[in-house]
Amino acid sequence: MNELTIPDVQLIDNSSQRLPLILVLDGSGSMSGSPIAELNRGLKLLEEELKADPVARLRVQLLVLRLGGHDNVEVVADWTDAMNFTAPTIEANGNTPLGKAVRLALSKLEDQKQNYKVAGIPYNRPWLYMITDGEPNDTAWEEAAKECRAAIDSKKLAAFAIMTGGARLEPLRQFTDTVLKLEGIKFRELFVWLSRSASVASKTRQGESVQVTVPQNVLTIPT
Amino acid sequence: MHDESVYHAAVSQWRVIAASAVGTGHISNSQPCQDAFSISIPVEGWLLAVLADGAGSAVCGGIGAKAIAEGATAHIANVIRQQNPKGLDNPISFWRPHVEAAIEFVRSTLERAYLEQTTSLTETETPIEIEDRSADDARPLHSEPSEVLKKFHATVVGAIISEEGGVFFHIGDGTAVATCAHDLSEYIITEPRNGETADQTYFFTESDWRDNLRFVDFGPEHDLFVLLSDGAMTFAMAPHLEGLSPSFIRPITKYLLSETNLTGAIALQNTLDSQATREITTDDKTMIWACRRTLDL
Repeated sequence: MNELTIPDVQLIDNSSQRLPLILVLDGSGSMSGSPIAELNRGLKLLEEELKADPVARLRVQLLVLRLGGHDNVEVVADWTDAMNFTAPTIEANGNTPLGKAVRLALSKLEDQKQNYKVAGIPYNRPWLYMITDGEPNDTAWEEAAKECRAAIDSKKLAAFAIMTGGARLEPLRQFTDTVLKLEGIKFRELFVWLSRSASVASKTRQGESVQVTVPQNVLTIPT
Repeated sequence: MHDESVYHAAVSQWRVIAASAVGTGHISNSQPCQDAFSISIPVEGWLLAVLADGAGSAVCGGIGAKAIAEGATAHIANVIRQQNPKGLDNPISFWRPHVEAAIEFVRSTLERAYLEQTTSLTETETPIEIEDRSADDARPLHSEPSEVLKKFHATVVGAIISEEGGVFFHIGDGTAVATCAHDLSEYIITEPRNGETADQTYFFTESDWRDNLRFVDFGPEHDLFVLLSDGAMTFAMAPHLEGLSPSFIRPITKYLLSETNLTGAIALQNTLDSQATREITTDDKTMIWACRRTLDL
C-alpha cells in the first residue's frame, strides 16, 4: 500500500455523538439474596466493559434508576459518560413501582435531549432497559406503559424488558414488544452482552441500523 | 481518471482533487464504499461537484449514491452547456427547477430499471447507467411512496459554481463549504440535516424529498470549495460547524497546490484512510477539494 499522506494535517475529533442508555433496575424485596448480588456484579462488569472500549467510553451515557422501597424510585447514577461511570450498588427491599420508574426515565430523557440540543451534541436513538423479577404494582403503571409505547412507536426510544425470576410477561408486553427472559440469574452475562451491544450502537452512523444478536444461553424469547 | 475512488483534474479555471476511503465498518461487513462523487467542468469557468452517501441500511445504497451523483451531474452539466446562465438575479430560483428535475429523473430511472430487471439487484451487479437527458424526459412512474426507492436511500450534496459565484443544493447530511484560502473565517456552508437522532437523516429517495431539498447561494469572492461526506466531517470541521478546521484544510491546500494532481489525489486518499481517521470514525470518508487556478498561497 502506498503510504504517501499529506503532512502536518491535524484532525479534530468532532464525533461527539452520544448513545443515551437508561437502566431501570428492580430493587424490590424479591430480588434480595443471590439475584441482587449477581445484578450488582453484572453492573460492575458493564462499567469495566464500557470503559475498556475506546469509542463506547466516550459516547455511551448512562442513567441508572432503582425502583423499590415504598413506591420509591431513585436516581442511583445520573447522566454520566461511560468513562466516568461508577457502578452503583442496588439494594433490594419493598415493592415494584415500574410505571413510576419508567415515567421518570422518560422525563429525564427528554431533559437530557434538550441539553444535547443546546450543546449541539448529536445522539443516537436512546436505549431503555427495564430489568425486573416481578410485575408493576404501582397505580397508573398502565399509563406509563402507554407513554413508553408511544415513544417507541415514534422512534424516539428503543426499549427492552428483561424478565427474571417470577416476572410475568403480559404486563411487560404493555411497555414494549421486546421482552426477553434471563436464564437463571445470569446478570453478569446479561450486562456483558448489553455493553457490547451498546458499543456497536454507539458507532452507528446515519441510516444504519443495529443488529442485536441475543445470546441464547443467556436470554430467550418468552412465550 | 482512473479508479473511481480518486479524481484529479486541472482544466479551465479549476483544479479539482477528490478521494474516497471505505470505512472500517463496511470493511468488516465486506461491503464496498457507499459514498460516491461526480465532477464535471462542462463549459469554461463552470464547475459541478456532487457527493452522495448511500444509507448503510439500504440494500443498494451505494448504487443509489452513484446514480444520484452521476445523474445529477450529467443533467445539470447539460443545462449549463445549453444555457450557460450568467448574470442571474436569483441563482436559487434559476437552479431549483433544474436540480429538482435532475433528482426526479434519477428517481424514476432507478425505479424503472429495478422493476424491469428479472433478477434481484445487488451491490455486486452492474450499476444502473444514468444517461444525460433533458428534464422533458423525466417521467416518474408514480407519486406514491416507493418500496423500490427505499433500497437506494442516499443523501446528496452538490455545488454548481461559475465565475459569478454559485449555489449548493443539499438533501440530508454531509456538507459543502465555499471559503477563501487566505481567510477561512469567510465562508458559506450548507450544514448537515439530521432527524431527531444522529442515526437519522433525509434521502433523495424519500417521497417528501422536495421538502428536504435545500439551497444556499454564494458570491464570486470565494476561491476554495470543499465537499465532505459525514464520515469525513467528523475530523475536518471546526467546532460547531463554524467552517473548515484550519489545521485540517491549510496543510491539505498547501500540499495539493504544490504537488502534481496524481500525487495529490493519492496522498489525499491515504490521508482519509489513515489510522488516525479510522480511530475517529468507522464510516466511509469522501472529500472533494476544488480551487480556482488563480489561487496562490
